[in-house]
Amino acid sequence: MPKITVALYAGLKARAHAPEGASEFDLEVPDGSKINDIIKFLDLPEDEVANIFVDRSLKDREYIVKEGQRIAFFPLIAGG
Amino acid sequence: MKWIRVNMSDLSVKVEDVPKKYEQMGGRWLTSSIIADEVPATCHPLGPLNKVVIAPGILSGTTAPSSGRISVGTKSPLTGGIKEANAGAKFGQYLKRMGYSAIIVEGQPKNKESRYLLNISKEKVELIGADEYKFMGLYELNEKLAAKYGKDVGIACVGPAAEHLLAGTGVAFNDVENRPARYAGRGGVGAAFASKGLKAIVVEAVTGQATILNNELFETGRKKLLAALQEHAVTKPKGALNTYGTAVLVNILNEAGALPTRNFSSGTFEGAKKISGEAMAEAAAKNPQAGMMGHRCHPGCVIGCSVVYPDAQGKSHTSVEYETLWAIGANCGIDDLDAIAQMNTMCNDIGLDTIEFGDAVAVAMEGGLLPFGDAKGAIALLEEVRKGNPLGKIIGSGCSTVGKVFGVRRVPAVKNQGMPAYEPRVIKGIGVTYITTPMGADHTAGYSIAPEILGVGGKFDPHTNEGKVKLSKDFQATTCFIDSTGCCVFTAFAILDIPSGFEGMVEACNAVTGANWTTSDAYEIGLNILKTEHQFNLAAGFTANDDRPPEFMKLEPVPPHNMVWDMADSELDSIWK
Repeated sequence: MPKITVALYAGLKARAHAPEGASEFDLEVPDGSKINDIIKFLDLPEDEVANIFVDRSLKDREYIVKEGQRIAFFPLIAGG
Repeated sequence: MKWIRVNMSDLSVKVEDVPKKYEQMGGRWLTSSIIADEVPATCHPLGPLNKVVIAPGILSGTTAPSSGRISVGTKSPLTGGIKEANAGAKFGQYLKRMGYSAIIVEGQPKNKESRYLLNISKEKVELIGADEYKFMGLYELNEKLAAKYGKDVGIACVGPAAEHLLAGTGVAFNDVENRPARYAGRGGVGAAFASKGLKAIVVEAVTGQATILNNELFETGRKKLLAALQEHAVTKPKGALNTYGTAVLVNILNEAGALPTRNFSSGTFEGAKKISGEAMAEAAAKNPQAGMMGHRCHPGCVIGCSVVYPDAQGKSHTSVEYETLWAIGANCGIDDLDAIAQMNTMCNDIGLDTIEFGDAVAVAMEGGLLPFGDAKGAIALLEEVRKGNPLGKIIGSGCSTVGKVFGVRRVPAVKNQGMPAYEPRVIKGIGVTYITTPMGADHTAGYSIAPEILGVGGKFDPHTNEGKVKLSKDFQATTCFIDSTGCCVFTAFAILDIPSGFEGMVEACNAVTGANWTTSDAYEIGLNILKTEHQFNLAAGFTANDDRPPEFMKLEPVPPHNMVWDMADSELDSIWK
């Protein structure tokens, strides 16, 4: 069961099934879990999750997470 | 259309018919064309041969959404090349509704101690002595001018740092609430403006709509652009920009390992969350009397990305943007949001570009003048700038000057202009933009961050060099056109993903100008603007060696990705072929 750190940004915190509304927390997930599985587990709105960073690099939803990784979820945002 | 030509050498003001060549131009297209045609490329930026051109966009003053940008063009005192900086403000909307497509300021008064104000009303345009406002801070100045000329007037003005002729200064435009918070910030346009002896330009409030030649076509185009802006997740009401402001980017750039920190020595900042858009939104929600998200920089903006941040004492600060939070925050190792907001307000008052100031302080920190994270020390430096003391003049002259004075090799600048808030060693496309744009390091010139990090307008791997020259060139050309329309560059987020929005923008421009442009034509127009600007820089003495990154970026890997700038110089040069 890999333990990962999840970070939720820009409104996703309010939309997730996260511990006590935390924006950053540790999570144990079954071996072989994909990012998609974590989205479902956290009950994140699938069509609103736009960008996912794993240890500072963009990954797609099929990526299989590993022990100790940091997974950050963002909706579609932009600025300048 | 007409334009106003002000000669500060003989203090004459002329209203002239716009020559046919310039009739369809606006914004950056017009400022860069006039500068290229009328300013000797090798002239001194602070001398009598340089000119300052202020031009609203093609659509400014109409009901086209988010179209109230105003461009300031000149030969840059910071880069020595051509410069266009723009802001969103009612100033340009009034000017255009009055029938003026530009103000051209030339010459220089014989007495350098004198100050003047240009007053533009429906009845007349006149230069007035303004010595009483000399070295006045801009919050006080805006109050006084509103009291004298009316609370709804448009104001363009320069602060004491610009009057000290420092290269890190901008031109401030008043916002709807009459705060000097909307800046054409970059490249020392403030110093060029001040070198003319001008302290301010006041334009009378004008309601209604600027001249439109084809109302039916305009409505078609306006509705298509509006629909795109209201549909896209980034620009729509209650969308990301409206809810969190531009600073919604702090966390994502930090998670990407590309938030330049402590003078570009790292790509992550441990204090990022404290200075993020989410943190500001939380503060604004707790104190709605003093704070506000979704503020609009000019009437008619449908995005509303500006922020009024309430500090712990309940004081309001407008507008605290991503670039400012990064420059004075992460880049200086400062995670105190209140201190950053205070410095933002001070920069607005003094007339400084917050990006150049943050870059300058970070280089000074590396040079040992003060430690990273020293907010009080940075605030004290701002007071030095206001007074025009030698140390203040060094800081206000930008990061390249500071690097030379303090013997710092790690100076994040291209063409002497400090880099904005994206690490080019990690995000290669924005690096191409920083390095090749005629403006000096400028993120808005070709915002490839959209597809490289944000997943807007397609997807590109930020870490690779492949295709990045073309990506940057396409963004730079399209941006040149958008900067000419008067539309906010953030409209690009919507129209990149919703092509009918771009069609609508071009149709609205056709309706105003009588042109028959397609979206392909718009790209070609943008490309030609870019070439005009590049040619000016070549004539000013620039060579391919000015289209290069700072050396340290080739030599020093930046954590956490430990990447260097590794694109061949020849690839960079291919952008002009």
